[in-house]
Amino acid sequence: MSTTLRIKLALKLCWREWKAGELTVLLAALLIAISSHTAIGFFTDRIERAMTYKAGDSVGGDLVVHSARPLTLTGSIDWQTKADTAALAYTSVLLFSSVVVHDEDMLLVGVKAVGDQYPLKAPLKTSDTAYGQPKTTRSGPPAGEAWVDARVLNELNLDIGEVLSLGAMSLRVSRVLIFEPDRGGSMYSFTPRVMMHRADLAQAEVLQDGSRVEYHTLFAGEIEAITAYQQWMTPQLKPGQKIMTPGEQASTVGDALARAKRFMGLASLIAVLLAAVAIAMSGKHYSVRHFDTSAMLRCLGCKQNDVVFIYLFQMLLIAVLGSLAGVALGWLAQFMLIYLLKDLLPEVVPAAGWAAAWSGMGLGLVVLLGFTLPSVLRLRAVSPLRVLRKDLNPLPLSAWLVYGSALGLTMVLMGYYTGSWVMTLSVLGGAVLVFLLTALFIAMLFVLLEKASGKLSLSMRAGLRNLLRRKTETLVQTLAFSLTLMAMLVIVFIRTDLLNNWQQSLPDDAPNHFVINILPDKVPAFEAYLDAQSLVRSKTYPMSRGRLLEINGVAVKQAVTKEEENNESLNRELNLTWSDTLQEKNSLVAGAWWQTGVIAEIPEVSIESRLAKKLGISVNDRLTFFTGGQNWQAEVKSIRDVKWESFNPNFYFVFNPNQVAHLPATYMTSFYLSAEQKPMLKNLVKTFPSITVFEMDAILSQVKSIISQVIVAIEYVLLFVLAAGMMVTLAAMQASLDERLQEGALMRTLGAPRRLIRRSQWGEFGCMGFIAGLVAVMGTELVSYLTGRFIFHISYSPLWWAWAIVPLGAALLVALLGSFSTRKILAQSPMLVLREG
Amino acid sequence: MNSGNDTAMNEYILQAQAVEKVVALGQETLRILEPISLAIKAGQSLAIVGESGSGKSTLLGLLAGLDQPSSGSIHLAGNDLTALDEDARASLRARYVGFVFQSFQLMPNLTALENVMLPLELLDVKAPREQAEDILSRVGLSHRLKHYPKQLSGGEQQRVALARAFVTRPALLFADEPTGNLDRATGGRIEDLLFQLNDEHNTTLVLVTHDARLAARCHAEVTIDAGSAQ
Repeated sequence: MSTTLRIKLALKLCWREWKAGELTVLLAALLIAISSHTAIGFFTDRIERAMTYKAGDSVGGDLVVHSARPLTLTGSIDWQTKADTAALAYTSVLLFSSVVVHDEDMLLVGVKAVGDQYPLKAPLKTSDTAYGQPKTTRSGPPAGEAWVDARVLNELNLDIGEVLSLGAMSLRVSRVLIFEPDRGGSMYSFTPRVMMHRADLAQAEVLQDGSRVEYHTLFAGEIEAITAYQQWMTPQLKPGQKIMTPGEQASTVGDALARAKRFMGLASLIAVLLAAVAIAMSGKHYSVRHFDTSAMLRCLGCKQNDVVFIYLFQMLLIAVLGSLAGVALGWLAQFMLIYLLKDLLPEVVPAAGWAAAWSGMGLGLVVLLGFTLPSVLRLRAVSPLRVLRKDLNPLPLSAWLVYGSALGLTMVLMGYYTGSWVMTLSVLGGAVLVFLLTALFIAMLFVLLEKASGKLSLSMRAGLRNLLRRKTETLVQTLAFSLTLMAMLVIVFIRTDLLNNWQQSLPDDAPNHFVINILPDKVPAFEAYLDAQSLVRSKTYPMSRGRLLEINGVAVKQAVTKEEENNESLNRELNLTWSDTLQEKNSLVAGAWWQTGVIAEIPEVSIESRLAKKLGISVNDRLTFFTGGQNWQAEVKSIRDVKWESFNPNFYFVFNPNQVAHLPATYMTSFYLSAEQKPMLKNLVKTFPSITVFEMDAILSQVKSIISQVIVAIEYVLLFVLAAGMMVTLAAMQASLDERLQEGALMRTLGAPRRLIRRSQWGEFGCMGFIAGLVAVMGTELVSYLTGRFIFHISYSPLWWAWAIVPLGAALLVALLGSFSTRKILAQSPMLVLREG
Repeated sequence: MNSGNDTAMNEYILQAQAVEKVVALGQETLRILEPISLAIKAGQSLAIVGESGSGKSTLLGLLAGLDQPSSGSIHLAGNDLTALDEDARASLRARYVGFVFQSFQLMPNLTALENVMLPLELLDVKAPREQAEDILSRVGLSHRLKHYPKQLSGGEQQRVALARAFVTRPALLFADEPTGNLDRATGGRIEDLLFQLNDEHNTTLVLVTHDARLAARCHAEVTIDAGSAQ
């Protein structure tokens, strides 16, 4: 048969099958799977873009360039012209240190000189009194005025309306700065802020040639325009110019985003798994239903290869059309989702990229062809003699081949979509375990149920016999339900774990004020003061300033890789502390904590794990520090994981107090202060004049708002996966419908009342659901443990309640879905069913 | 019709020589068809008669090239079926053979018209629709063209099957209990139609039946009992 004829025939048969409703189940399974996968893809893509966009608030722009001189590029087109063409808003701010004076008092401050366009993105928060109510402010100070941190007022004994001197100029202090969105991630920027207008710089004469100034050029605009602009600009940057992206700056926000992305990756992976299960089942069903047709085709003179070509071509056609339709449907679904969420989402939700559409198409093709291929190939082996002898089924393909290739393909797909082999393997490990456990459980239950069935009612007995008789089908269906349930459970539990962990890391009473410069002799009084106000506070830590000079006798700059040469920790003084005990929410990853009271020969130090990794430091390394004019050595005894997002006092280096307690130190702590308690700060500062208070409450609420958006996104993605799971379950039920129809008709012909059939269905599906639920919980426990431990880095706790609720819930759900999808058995005339059979 | 091999090969459209079928059943072998020889001339009809399970359908499958004998040879239109692989046998079937089955074997997802068009399409015949419509009206189903098999009665389904079998004007028609699933009256009408079409198309007919009355309408008859020709 020529290829043209084959294609013509395949198209004709495909069209006829579609008309006859033969392809509905397969196409629906594909459509549901691809549309849910793509909707999640499109939606997460848009949310991710929106969140990245929103995260731009924390660096002051969607794109920020840091430079030591006013920004100029190597290319011929100047960046302003290009930004104007791209309709980007932009402004430059200058940052430098200087001394401000009021009466006799002088203070070293960080000056920020801003233009009329500032702030470009999120607004400032300011107040008209120290520690007053914050007010949203969408501009910087006008020329001639200065806005300052409350600390500046305290330390210079200054009031609002008075003037301070900066260089040759006097600036009237008109507002108190409470929150600058682009202040940067480091909460220990010690110098207090004075913000002024850029126009005053010339008159102040503070900047001379060679002055150390940092220029931040901020850009804001449509995400596509920003991306294009960044691509244009990057190759033209000069040495010392650096592009800062939101992710690099705001570590807490970045962390939340990274976890959300991983979670959404998992959600779309689950969608892929569900798709694979649904399609493999529908493919098998399709193939079995076509045994007779292909025998007849062979009888009519089709060769084996003709038959295979015709069916493969049909599969390809279904894959292309189904995927296209699925992608289109997914596209529409995400619009609906975004529309429903419009009040919760940022004003601007950028359009989705094409990646989800391509991945949907690719997924449809690969999954449909990949998972139906073994079934379609089986059609090749149908004997033409089947037209005379219906019992002549083609030999089943080797189970190893079928499941091995399905597993391999699933693994490749998962690896491709998640980009994480740990995630792929742990989810797959769980799935394989579910498979094995299901098989084991069913085998065990067969024995038990067979023994017990004699004591059951007729309807239950009929239901159980149905289960026992179709062992393979039962196994496959239970496996499908288990996988679906497990997928849903994993998503629900990981989401819950994720939320709990976030909430734990940022509880309502998380410290939102930091105090430094507490003098050693004032520490007890200070602690007593806070306790008297019943404030929740962290431990008080000593703090000494020092520099890291050498690692194992080699100067740090030589000891580290080229990329780490400019690591912040090498170029500035670090805060060193000492403590007998490991700090709250820190955990050791290497070495051991020192024993209290044991005095070692050489000072002992514990180092934060990320810094240790960056600088290549491991346990037993010798580090040389410089403090108070002296070099001294310490030995690394342990490496700690620090939860920076916990907003507790955290340190890179913690020493054993025995050897370093003599170092000059001031003390620091953190505490929680509600908005109503805010006025007490004035009194606190008055009582302890040496202290410096950092107000983090505004930053904290910014972080919380971003996290709550992430949570909303996650919950909706979850809903989608749940819906997909339900549909797959229904599709699985459809697979055995023909046989059930036949049996139901027979039973009714033999006089079985409908009630009996209905009850036996409940018994059968309920039992199947119970087993599926039980093994799904087991699999979920394993997967949660593995993903929690290796991917999300969150603690694992067994889900005791799930062991009781899930199997019972699954029994009920599967019984309901099963009775629903097989309602035809009771509705259709037995005569008609038997005649068709 | 003659049984034996003393007649020149070219007169016979179908000739079986010591055809035998043995199947392995675990450790043992089961001889389901003893060696049998027969031949049929073009345009004649042969009834293979026997009780249920006697092996007559097995013989039909072998003669039509749907299965391979354990030993012996079968020549169909001058081609040795036992020397051909399955694909080559399929080509022969497409060119020479039509089938009618007890259970009709219509494709459930195709309409009556599409079922009849299918063999023509497989042969890439031009204008298959007209030919299919013609023959369907010939069997009295012009008003049922768009109906699916499940919407047709048993008799109507078998008429579609007859139309499908004759539409390609096969040289040889194999019919396996064509009236076995039908009531006597309908069966009688189908029989008439079968023989009528057979005469019109000058088709050679090989008919498997346990109905002596139907067998008597054929030119010749061979009875199979417990796998042996009587």
